[in-house]
Amino acid sequence: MKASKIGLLILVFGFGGIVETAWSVRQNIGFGPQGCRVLAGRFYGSSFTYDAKQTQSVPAGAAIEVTNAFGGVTVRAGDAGQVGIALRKVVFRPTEEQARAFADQVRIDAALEGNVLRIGTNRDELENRSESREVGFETHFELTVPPATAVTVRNEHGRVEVVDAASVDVTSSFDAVRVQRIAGAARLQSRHGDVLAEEIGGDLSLVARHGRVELRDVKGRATVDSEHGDVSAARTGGLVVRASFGDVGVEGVRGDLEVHSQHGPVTARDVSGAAKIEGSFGDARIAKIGADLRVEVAHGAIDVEDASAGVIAETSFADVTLARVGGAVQVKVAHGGVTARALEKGAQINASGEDVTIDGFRGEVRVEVERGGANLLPAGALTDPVWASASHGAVRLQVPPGSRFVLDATAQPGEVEVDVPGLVLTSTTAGTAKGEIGGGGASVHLQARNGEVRVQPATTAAAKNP
Amino acid sequence: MAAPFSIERTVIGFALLGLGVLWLLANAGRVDLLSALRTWWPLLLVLWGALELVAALSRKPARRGGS
Repeated sequence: MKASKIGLLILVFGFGGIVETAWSVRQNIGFGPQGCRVLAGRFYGSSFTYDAKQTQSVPAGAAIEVTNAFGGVTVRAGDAGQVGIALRKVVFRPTEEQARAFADQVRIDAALEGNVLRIGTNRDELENRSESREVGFETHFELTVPPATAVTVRNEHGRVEVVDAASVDVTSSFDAVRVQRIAGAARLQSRHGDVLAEEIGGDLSLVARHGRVELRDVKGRATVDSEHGDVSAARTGGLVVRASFGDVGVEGVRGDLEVHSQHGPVTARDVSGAAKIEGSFGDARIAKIGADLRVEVAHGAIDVEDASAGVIAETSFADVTLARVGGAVQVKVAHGGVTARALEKGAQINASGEDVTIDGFRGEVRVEVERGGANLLPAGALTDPVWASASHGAVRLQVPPGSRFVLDATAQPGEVEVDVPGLVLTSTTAGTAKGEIGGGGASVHLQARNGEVRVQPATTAAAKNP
Repeated sequence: MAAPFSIERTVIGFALLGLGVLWLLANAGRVDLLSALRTWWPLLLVLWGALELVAALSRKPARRGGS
């Protein structure tokens, strides 16, 4: 075959390919009076707005159910006994004449079925007609309902706002949801949109995907299931949050708090009840907890302040910081250290890779550190048992005045240095020291492997390390 | 002296003629250009194939006569 024929064949097939491609995307590309449309869909170009209104009488206690798409839904409290329905129609057509002709076909459907007033439009009917399938039109509802009405909204591609209702049940996608001043329960499901729930009188159940969640002043119990969005909650009842790929911030929980978070930090503050927090790949910062706290994090730091009761903390590849804990403390850290201040009821700490420092503790303390040291300073006279073991690190104990205990210190290999006034050594050998102070009492066992053990008076140590 | 018959030139000629007519009708509002092109473009292949067949058949008797 000649080269000219091959060239012509390629030219013909290329031409055919261009035509077929243009045919495939013809609905999304257009040049003309509407401008240049490129993959813009049917909601593009000139649009014209038309309004329709109607009023529907409803019996006392009737519920409202709104179904809509491609437009917002706003529901507010109005007069008793009737529902005011305002529909704003936005039609995307090149000319006003065409738009009006189409808008005249869009109507409000409102029917009372039992005790439920169902409100919507004839969108499905219009979109099933071949001549109107490609026409973009929005339907925005503004409703006034009797006070204390239960409201249900099913909407897509439009903002939903419900204010002053008895209860609310919203399913929405691709735009924001806002519910405020709801007397009873609220149930919200949202995809691809932010959610705000404020002043909810009853329980709240919320499922959100790809959007920010904000709760404020929820009197009942709140449950939040969120993915790919931040969660912020303030002044709620008992709260359960399941979140992934977003920050979780909680403040002011009247009751228990439970957070399960993945790939995001957790901040919780001012919880009156117990708190259980599980997370991964994000830090956990918790303050002012009224009851027991349990925190388990993988690959994230833990920071706890002002815990009234016991604290159980577990993490890996990050540090744990505790301050002012009123109950017993249990900490496990893999590849991280622990810094603690003002522990009132003792501590049991296991750590590896970094040092453990407790500045001010009361009660029994048990510390075990791998590849790190232990620094211990009691808050007052040491009279409770202490057991501290460190490998490849030093064990240092500062002894306040008035302490009473029996000392057993070992460093193998390493050096034991005891220099506390009043502490009488009863046995000393290379790498070991035994003695007592204040006439003896609780057992203080200090052990270092590949490190030193140093026992000093608290004041001396404080002067050396201000 | 007249140029020898060329299938390629004939195909291109018909293609340009057809495209021009379609475009003209589209501008006059008589046809939907894209729809018409999408429907009728394979006709180019049909036309070309037909011309090739005609050319092949017309060459065969000449070869027989020369041998």
